[in-house]
Amino acid sequence: MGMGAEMSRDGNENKNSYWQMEGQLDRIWSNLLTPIHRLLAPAGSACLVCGKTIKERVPGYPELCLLCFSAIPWITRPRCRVCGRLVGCPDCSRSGGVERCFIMNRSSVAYSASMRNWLAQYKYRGHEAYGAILARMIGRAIGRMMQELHELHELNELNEHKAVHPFFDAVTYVPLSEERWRERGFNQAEVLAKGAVLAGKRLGGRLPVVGLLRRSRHTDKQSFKSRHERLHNMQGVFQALPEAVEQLAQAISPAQTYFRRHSPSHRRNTIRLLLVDDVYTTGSTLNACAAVLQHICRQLGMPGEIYSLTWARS
Amino acid sequence: MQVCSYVVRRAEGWQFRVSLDFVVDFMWWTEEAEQQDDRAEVILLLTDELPLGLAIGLRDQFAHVPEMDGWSAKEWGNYLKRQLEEQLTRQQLQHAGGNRDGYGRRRNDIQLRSSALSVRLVWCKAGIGGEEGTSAGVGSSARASSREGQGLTAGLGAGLGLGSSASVGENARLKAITNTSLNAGSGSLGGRDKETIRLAASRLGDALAGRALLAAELQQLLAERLPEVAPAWRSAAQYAHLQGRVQLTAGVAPATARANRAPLRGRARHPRCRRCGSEALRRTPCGSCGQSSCAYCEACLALGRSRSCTLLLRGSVGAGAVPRPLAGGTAGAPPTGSLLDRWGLSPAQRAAAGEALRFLAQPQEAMARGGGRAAGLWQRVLARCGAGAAAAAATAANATNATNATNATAATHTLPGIPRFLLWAVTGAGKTEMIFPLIQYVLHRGGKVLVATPRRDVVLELAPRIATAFPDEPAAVLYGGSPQRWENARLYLATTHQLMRFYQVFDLVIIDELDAFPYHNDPMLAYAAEASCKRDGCFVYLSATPPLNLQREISRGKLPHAKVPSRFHGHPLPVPRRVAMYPVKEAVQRQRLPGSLLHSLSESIQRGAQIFIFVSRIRHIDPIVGLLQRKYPAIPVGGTSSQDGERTDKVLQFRSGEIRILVTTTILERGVTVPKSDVYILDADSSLFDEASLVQMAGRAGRSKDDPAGVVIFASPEWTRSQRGAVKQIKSMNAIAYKNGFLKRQLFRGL
Repeated sequence: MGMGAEMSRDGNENKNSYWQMEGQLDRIWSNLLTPIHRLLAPAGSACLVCGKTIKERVPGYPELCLLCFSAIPWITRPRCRVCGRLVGCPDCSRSGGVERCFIMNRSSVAYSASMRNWLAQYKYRGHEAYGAILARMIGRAIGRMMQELHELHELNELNEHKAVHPFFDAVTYVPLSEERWRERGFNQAEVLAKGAVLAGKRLGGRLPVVGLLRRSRHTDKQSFKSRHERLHNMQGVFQALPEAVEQLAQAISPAQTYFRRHSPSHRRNTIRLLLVDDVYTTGSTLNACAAVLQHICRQLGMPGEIYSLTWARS
Repeated sequence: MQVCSYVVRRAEGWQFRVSLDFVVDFMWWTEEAEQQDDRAEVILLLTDELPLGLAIGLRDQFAHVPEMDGWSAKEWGNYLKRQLEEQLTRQQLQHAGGNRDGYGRRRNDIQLRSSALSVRLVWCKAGIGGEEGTSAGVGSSARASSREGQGLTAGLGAGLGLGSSASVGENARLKAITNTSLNAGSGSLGGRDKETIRLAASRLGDALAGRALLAAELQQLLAERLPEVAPAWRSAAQYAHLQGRVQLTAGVAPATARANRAPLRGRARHPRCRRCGSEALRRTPCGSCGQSSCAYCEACLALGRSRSCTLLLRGSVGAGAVPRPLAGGTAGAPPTGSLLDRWGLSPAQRAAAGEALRFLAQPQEAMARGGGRAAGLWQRVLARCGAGAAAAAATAANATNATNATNATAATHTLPGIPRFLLWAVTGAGKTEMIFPLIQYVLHRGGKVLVATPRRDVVLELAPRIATAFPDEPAAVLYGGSPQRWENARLYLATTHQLMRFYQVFDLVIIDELDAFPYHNDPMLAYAAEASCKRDGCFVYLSATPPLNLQREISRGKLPHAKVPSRFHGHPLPVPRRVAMYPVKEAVQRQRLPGSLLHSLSESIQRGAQIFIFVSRIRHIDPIVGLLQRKYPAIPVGGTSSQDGERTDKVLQFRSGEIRILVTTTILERGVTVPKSDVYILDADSSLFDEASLVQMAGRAGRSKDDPAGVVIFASPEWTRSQRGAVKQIKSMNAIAYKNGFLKRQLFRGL
């Protein structure tokens, strides 16, 4: 197209006809090219977090772009051996206060601002696509945790089935109140527990998920409370489900573990439970749940060892 | 959410209805309707609790068949079972075609099917078998179980002991209110109850008028504005629904139930969000309705989750205050003169605003469209969004924010429905002043006006100006987190996302910066805009750089419009000059800028101008800032981008002259006015700079009256079509301005 001709002095009419012409050409071109373009373009998907088109795929996390994935603050070596915190932890070394009912906690990631945002997107906005990602992330942590525990218990534990032994007898999760459950439509801890089990299975061994607990009332937001209030606010919030003992008994019964005559829990005479939640802040929620779980285990005549796994540790 | 469903036989036939509180329905059909001679003949309660999405689906598909008169409760049960089966099968089909990440997928179906068996006759009109015209079948079946019906009726009258426990609970709470806060007069228990519900319903109906809210949003609204209605909102909403004031529907619903499918469409159509019009691709097991696959919309999550079991309430605009239609009025005379004088407009502004007013006043033939309107809209939206087929749709669902331009390959502004008018005003023309007479005109006639703009900061900037212009008309300012979000007003100022909360209520919708992100190319917002406007309302678009499809419509004469070709100060737009330069990437590598560019930069600095330097990539900002700082050590240079937390501060510093050269990206292409400024666009041939953004960036120069002739430089190795187009557009606007005499005589050297 000769540009000079259109740039003439008396603009209006000439310009209109030019636009018309150009418009038609445009249309013809786009009509021709768009379908071809669409056919040839790779089916690029957008990153769930930042919305940009994913150029480099991350193995195992097809929803995320490389940038967003590499920003995840994984906890690979927790500083605190008890609560799994990345940095030093005064709470665990402090003596007194409420008795700790679980043995240890491990988490996938540090609860950074971006992780907080992910969880908010998932939990409060209800963007359930995040659920799958979070579940896979917690799967990474359970693998590491099981490895660590095996190393720790090597002397106490019989080694023969190490490869297939998942260490825990069952997995359970922190419940939602009925009201929240109706409102939200899903329990993020349950989704995470299932994700953890999926990863645990891949590492070998059977790992049943059982819902054992019930949340009788909904507590106010924890973040507005002092440490003391948090620890005491939780009392009496969680109860055992009526069918909990039966469910747990079934989950650990020898009949279910098909290639051994006795279940590991019977042999070692303890029940090892893994309790899953989304975030560990002071551990008060987990502690309250662990206390109830201990009680359930005692009803089965065996002491319970409760381990905790969360997606994030603040 | 779960709801109760029932069928009712009225004079005109059977109707399937969904209820939030069956007690209210029962009362309505047996008592209220009697006064209007529209009493129900038979009521059968089908289910106490059914996932809302399914219930709405059944309701929307229901059609009266004469045989139904002969059906017994058992046959109704079978009917319900069949319909549910069909719905679930369709869902599973869609599910198979959609994503596969559900956990534990088949939890619900057995439950659902067994619930279908609890059909009960609740009420039948006395003596229906004999005298009334219905067939013998219903007579006998009704008579057979009429004792049961009577029993239930009695039960209802006495203790309201029927139906789903939840709604009865609500009702009980409603009674509690009656006794305490409202304290309605004496009378029987039932009578007083009815009064309370009626009152609550009328308040709720007023609050909901013209809104489209999810149940959770309604609860927020009630908690804030009508706390006395909040505890019994289900009863109140149901009563308002029966009155016809509120539509009840599901947040996500199947795309056109009886679709006339194109052969290659594929069998699985995804359901759509009824609030934003997007496809809802994701299904998850849902605790609130108990279904194993409940679809939800990812596109409008920011305003609360819309899913197939959430209740979407749409309030119709009450019959109380019907505004006079915009058209007609003062004997057909164009309402110019007096309306325009008040605002002190420049001649160019005045001419355009006058034309827009004439557009508002002229009778709109386009409105004479029948009832097929809604379906038409739906199909158009479908056609538009479905154009990109599966691939585009998939990306559409994923792209929540920045890059969802891909999902709107098809034009979004070519809706033939509501009449539209484009005010094409060049940068710095003074668009805001031009909309004042339009707002005044519509308000004066009792209409409602919405001014929407894609960006929140523009809303906040506009609010005080509107407040000064209309001191007697308090405007509601809406944006994410606005304290006024549930307020009712006649004049609204909102971000385009807030449009989703309105339903057919505005007589005039003004959309500012039509071509700006995120409104541009977002079918969701276009859908929301259309839904918010009355069927006989109209749109006025404002833009300095209308999108190409609108430009085409103009050239084809299909879009009424007015151009404002000159700035308010009457000086022509600065025409961009070209400077050849190697790409910025190379400049960064070589650590030097070309002499030609430095030459004009030095000139700008000498004349004391503030200098915008636009680059195409964020990563180029820092190196360029460094280069310039080294070259001009005495001049403060700054750089900012979308990822800069101190952006606002830096822009303020730039405005005040603390920073003399600001290196930035297209993020500052609009809305920033700096008195004496020159504009340099590096890599102007970049594909990221289209014609519109080049015109916008060029529009940053010469905006003030004191320095109307700024310098605009396009620096690039190549002279692209976008650049040519931008120069042409600017020149042609100047030419039009000159021709119409809008320019001051001695100043048209740019032609």
